[in-house]
Amino acid sequence: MKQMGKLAWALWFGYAFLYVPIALLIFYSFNESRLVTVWGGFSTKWYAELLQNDQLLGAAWLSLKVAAMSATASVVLGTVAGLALARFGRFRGRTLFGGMITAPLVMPEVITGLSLLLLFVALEQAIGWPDGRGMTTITIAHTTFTMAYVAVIIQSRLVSLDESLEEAAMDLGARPAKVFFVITLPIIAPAIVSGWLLAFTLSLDDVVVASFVSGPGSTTLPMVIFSSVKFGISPQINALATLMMVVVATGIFIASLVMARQERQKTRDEQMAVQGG
Amino acid sequence: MAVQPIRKPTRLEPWQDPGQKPYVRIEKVTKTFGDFVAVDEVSLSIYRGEFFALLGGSGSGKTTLLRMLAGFETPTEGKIFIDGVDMAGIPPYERPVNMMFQSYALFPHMSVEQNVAFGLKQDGVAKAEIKERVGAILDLVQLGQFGKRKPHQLSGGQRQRVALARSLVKRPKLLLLDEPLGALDKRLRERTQFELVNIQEKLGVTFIVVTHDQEEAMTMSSRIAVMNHGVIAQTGTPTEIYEYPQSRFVAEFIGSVNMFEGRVVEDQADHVLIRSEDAGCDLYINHAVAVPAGATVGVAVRPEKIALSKEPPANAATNADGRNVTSGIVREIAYLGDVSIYLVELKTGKTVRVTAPNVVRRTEMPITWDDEVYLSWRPFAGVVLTQ
Repeated sequence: MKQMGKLAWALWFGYAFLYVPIALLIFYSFNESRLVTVWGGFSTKWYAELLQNDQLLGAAWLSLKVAAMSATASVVLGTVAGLALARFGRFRGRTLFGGMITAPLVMPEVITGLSLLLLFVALEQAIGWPDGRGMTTITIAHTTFTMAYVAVIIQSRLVSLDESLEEAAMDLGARPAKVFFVITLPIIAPAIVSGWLLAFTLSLDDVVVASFVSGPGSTTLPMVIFSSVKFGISPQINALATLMMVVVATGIFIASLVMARQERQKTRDEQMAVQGG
Repeated sequence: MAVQPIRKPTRLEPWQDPGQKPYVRIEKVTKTFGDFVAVDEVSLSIYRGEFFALLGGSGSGKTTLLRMLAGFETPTEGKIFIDGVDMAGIPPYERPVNMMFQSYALFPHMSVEQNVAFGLKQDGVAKAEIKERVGAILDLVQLGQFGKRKPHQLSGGQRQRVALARSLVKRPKLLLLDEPLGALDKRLRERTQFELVNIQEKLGVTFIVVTHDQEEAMTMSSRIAVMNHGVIAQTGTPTEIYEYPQSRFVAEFIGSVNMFEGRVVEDQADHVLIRSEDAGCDLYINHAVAVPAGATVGVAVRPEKIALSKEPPANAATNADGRNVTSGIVREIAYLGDVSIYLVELKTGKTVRVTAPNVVRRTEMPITWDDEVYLSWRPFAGVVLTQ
């Protein structure tokens, strides 16, 4: 019993470590006082003020747009890369490619950001595109590093996918392109969705790469938050963070609920099938 | 309704008829993966309407050969003709062939009906016809009620039948089956073997089945090709393969066998006599062998062809001079209900396996552990193997 008590204590400590900061943030978003760390009574005024703050809302909107676009682009590119690595057997330099696709995962963000900035500047001088830096360049930059994550997810899903499914479709008369869209894609759809969500989160979260490749007038939310720290955080940021957390948590909650239900249904069906002979 | 034999005795044997053209012709096909030779200069002719089995252990190259027929692998050397057409460069989706996969490969996101209809849809068959044909084939495999279910809502046996229906619905002239019964339990497997043969005869499709299960190959097929290390060891009807194996490998792979080593001492037109230290007696075989006297050979005797007795066998005519008669001590008995297996240790030290049907109901065995017994067999029982 004593052992259990210790374990429970360790568990509580672990969770506290993870969630106390977040709870504190939510708590202070309802703070009356202008000072973030001094409690001045309950109020929702920062939420009201937040809705008036065009700069903050604009940045949030930009971040969401960039995240959605770069997640979509990286899902397309990552799927192609994952497919090549998982399916086309042994081609020359396969190991090299496999290693290189995961390199951006460990590359320091500062280096990624700087190198992309250099590329964009050079490109602009050479062919006149991209015209200045802004949403396009941030999206491209985010795609480059989120794509690596998506490729890894898709590749591992494809490796565990029974290849004879694709062969069966081909055997029944479907051409390779059709096999991909009618068989492979629907089956790996859950991996693509989770890849998209991961890419979306990574993009929403990024401040370093974005700082390098953004231009005037295109400031993402993390950049705004980061720069406002220098002048002291407004409780509005707390309110915004709380709102975002509610949205994200609700999304994850619903998704896991749906998935758990599907899983239960599937298990039940399988049991019925076994009993039915 | 009268019970019909699975294979009618009057069945055609197209491979005996020189006027018949083979439907599938495999000509000196070799397939290598790097340094590994999976299939080594295999030539085969398979005729229309046959139920042909490729039998072999794992790594024997049987599946690779099947995949080359389906078009998933390209032969390194050699040619494959199906219905007279060279299959080189023809992709799987353009071959007049369908395949049933070992894992069944049912599309998990589609219902049973959609799975079966998939092939017809690719061919642009009209909707009404698709519906009709899917319904008909599902009735044939007794799954008419299950059309709306997803694969994961089916039992193993039902999935197997969906896979069969899906591969048959396009009415292929040639169906390739990769271990079609491998994932089923023993009882279901036996029932499905008969179903498969019935369906094959009803539709007149040529079946090529890959299997590692010799019993399965024996029950279902018209002919068997036994494969070993990428080479065909022997091709023939189940009876030929079992009764007249051409090599030690085939004799040992199909069923169980007692192998005696010996030396040819007498080689006549109507018999051979082989002296065997192993067996402890001379072996008399009533067919000639094309080996010179003095050559070392193996003699295979099937366990069920050996008779056990406590007294020396009486019919001296076939066992003159103590030929084909030896004796030993019963070491092990396995009672299987219908038959019993006896392991008899000969005086020479060799252990011989004998199976005897339990014709009489008995609780007390006439022959029991540590009894001294005589083993005898008829002149036709032995097969001389030189390879």
